[in-house]
Amino acid sequence: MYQNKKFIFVCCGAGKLTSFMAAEGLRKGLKEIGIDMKKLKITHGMMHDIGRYEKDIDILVSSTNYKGNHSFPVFNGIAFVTGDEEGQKEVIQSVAELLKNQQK
Amino acid sequence: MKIDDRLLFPRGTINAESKEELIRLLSEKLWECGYVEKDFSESVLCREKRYPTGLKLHGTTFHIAIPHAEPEYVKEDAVAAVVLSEPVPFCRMDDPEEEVSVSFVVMLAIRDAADHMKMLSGLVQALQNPERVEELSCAAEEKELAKFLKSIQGGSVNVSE
Repeated sequence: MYQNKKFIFVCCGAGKLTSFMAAEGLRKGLKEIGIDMKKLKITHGMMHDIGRYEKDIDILVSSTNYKGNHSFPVFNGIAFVTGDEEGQKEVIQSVAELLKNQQK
Repeated sequence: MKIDDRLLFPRGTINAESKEELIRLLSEKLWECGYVEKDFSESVLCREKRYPTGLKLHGTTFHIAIPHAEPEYVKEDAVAAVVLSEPVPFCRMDDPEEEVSVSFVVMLAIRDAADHMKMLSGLVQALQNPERVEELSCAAEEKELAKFLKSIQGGSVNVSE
């Protein structure tokens, strides 16, 4: 479906504001540490849509407190909204690690 | 978007016991000035319940809330802002079951999602600077609040979609 791209879904309650901010922050952060963005698809949307993308998601980042049980890893992305730079770095690093491992 | 002084309330000019009271009050002002539909306040209250907007910021105790409505209730873009002497609890955006004491409420009557985001990211960034927080909490006149809001308009995050 995504031409072998890794799919990161970034969600929040309404799927507009905070997921947008988190997705932008993540995109920028991953690019900065040299991740090949062409192999990546980052989409933001509603928490409600997780089910719809369930099969395709490789990594989920939620900017609201989300406790779902999934086969893919879930990260909290509120740091991108509150301006917590340490927290942002942590998420970016963890996602980058996962992407590297998944590509092996 | 122009900043309307009639919608700005420096510390001590508005007090509210609850977020509901505050939301009604600010919506009323927006309506009186012709920026929103009469039902704006109900839409904000309803939205706030489903998707709370309290935001516990990093590196400050000056937390914010950005209550807003669905875009169809907005006639012309505007923001109403109030600095509270007594913080009011809002539910947290990232954890709706938790509350945060909010000192600065910026009610957004903005139709475009990207403009929302610029405003929010600009606010978050400004409030991480203790001098800007000081500037905001000491603001005694509408025009000082207006200056603050004007300075953050535009934000810093590039919108790439």
